[in-house]
Amino acid sequence: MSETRQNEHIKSNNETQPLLTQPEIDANLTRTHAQEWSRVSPLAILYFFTKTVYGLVSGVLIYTLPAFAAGYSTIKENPVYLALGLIAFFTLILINSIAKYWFYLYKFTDERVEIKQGVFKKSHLDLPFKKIQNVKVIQPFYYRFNQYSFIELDTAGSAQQEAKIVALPLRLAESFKQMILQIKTNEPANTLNKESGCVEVHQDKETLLNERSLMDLVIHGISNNRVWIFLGFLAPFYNAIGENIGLALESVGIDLMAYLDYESLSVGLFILHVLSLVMLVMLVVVSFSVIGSIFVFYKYKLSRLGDRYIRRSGLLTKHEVSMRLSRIQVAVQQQDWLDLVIQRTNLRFEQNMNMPVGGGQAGNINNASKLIVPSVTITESAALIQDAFNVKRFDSIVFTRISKRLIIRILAFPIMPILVLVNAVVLQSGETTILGWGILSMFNTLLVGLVYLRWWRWGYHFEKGFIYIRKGLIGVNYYVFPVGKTQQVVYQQSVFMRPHNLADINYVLASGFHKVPLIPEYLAREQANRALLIVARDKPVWM
Amino acid sequence: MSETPSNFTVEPEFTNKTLSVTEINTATMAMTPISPKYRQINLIWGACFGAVLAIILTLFTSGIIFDLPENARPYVIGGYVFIAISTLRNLIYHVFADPLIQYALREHDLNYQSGLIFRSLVSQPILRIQHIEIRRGPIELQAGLATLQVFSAGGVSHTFNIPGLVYEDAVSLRQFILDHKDLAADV
Repeated sequence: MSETRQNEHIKSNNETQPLLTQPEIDANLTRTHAQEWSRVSPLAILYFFTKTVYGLVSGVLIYTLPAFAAGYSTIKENPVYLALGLIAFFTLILINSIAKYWFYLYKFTDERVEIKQGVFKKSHLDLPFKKIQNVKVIQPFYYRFNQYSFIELDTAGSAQQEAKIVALPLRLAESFKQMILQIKTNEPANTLNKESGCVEVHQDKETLLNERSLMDLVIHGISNNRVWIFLGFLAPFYNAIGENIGLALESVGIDLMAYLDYESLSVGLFILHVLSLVMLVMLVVVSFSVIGSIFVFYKYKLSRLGDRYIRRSGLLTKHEVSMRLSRIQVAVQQQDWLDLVIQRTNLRFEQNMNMPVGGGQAGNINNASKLIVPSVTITESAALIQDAFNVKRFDSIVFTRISKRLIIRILAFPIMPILVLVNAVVLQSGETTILGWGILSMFNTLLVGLVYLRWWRWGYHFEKGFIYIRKGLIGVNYYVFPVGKTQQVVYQQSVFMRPHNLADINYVLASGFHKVPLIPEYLAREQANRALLIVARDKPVWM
Repeated sequence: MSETPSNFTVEPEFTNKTLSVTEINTATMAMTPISPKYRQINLIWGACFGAVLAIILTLFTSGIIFDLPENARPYVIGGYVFIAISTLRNLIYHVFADPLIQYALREHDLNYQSGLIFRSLVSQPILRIQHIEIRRGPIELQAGLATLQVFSAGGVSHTFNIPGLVYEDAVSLRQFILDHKDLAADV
């Protein structure tokens, strides 16, 4: 595609509608299907510039701040040099960005995408569409004004490659995405079997499966600690915040030192002050968490197009993650204690974990290897899991408990050493008061109680080619995966377990491993055999 | 090593046996022990490692490099005891655990059993193998042994390893797996 052609294309595609009709895709494809090397829009300079500046600020400048602070007076005396230095600094980055843009070329053919880039260190990426696991169209905030975006192509397996095509008009990016998806869905479907549990449905229209309102995101922010999203954003400014927070509080009339001066306050008042301060900090943390949640999940929509799930969300940077249904290895329904109270749950579909980690404002929350649906109701979660795997609801399953020997196992290590150490230290430290005894016995009971709770939560259920696992401590997590996704199966038995005819079974999936400990030996053996049988006989796909 | 390389070659005829749970039972499969040389290597290596540690400790505490304070004597003895116990533990472990290492190659999977107190049987379906490597360190090279490494999408921490294989057997195993029709079937 030549420059002029691309410009024509931009003019003819100003709308923001994300989904294209078939004639539109065809039209775009004929235009973009040129077999020659093309350059992206000059807006890519902005992309490279922002990326370099952010990288430098968060990766290098943050560590040199002390040097700047030490030489502050010298810098202050020579503002002209500082300005010149800054101009030179940004000019260098700009030149570098222009060079990067100039040497950045891409080519789309019928079967592959190729990217050439690099000023001094050249790289040539040749990526067949078949190797692409996910196509993400991402719109950073600085591309939002002119409807530009970049495509991120996640590749499979061990190669750990990541391909980005920077600065494409949104419509063109959508066309590319749908072209890749179309080519991939045109592949002959694999014969799948009920026992292996891999269901693949063919549909052509995008259907909305779930969306999250602002209220849901607030609930998510409160019940899940998303504060780190916000903290990650503020990372480059930590020092400045730390230095100025005291001043800021003083300016609004709060003297922290006087407020917490235990010499002049009575014990009751001091505790009250500390408690109120803790509450205040918690309030701030929760507010930040809510903001973080809104940042990432704003206008969250999960929809299905053919055999793919597509997740769209984001306040500043809009993320779009697409995941093929057959690539989902496991569905995880995760409930923390607060989720249990308000009857909400986070649902996660996990695929190949060996994929490159998606960047962006939220770290691994936008990681394409995990598709997260935040704070849904139990019924919504069940419906989504049903859609993906065609399995039973977790609350309709009678889970079998594992052997109570788990309690002995955890008590033996690490609980017993902790208990012995803590009790020994406390008892050695001199006269113990009744309050001391009380606290110590409460601590001991709590720890043992938690171990019991851990066992009580553990449950498993094997049915029709699916493995259901329930585990947790205070919160509870449910896992379900088709046994046909097994990469490797490990049967384990220690000499302590053998007399009791118990064994562990460990299913290794592409998304991680799932161990069911201390189940009857015959059952572990039978399940390991069944997994091997299903994989060998039915050859279910895992990707 | 009782198996000869020819045992692993692929049958040219097409087979289409019905698979059932009883047939695929891992509890009854015949397993092959690895080379006894593997234990010898581990024992020699373990003893050498202990000796090297003891020499290093002696060098540092003999007063050649720097003067040792008077009250450091018990710590030095403690050091020797620690080295002796860990070396002995290591050697005893290999004496009993290494002969228990066994593997089995079947029509559809590769199995590896190991462990003394915690016994584990890892079964790797051939269909799920991503790639396969033969690794040989200088000592293995000298002893004519090799380690077969089988990678699946289960990740690096779940790499399937069979150490202490006679090199020719490792090559035959690799060839069997590479020629397996399932290897190309999985996506």
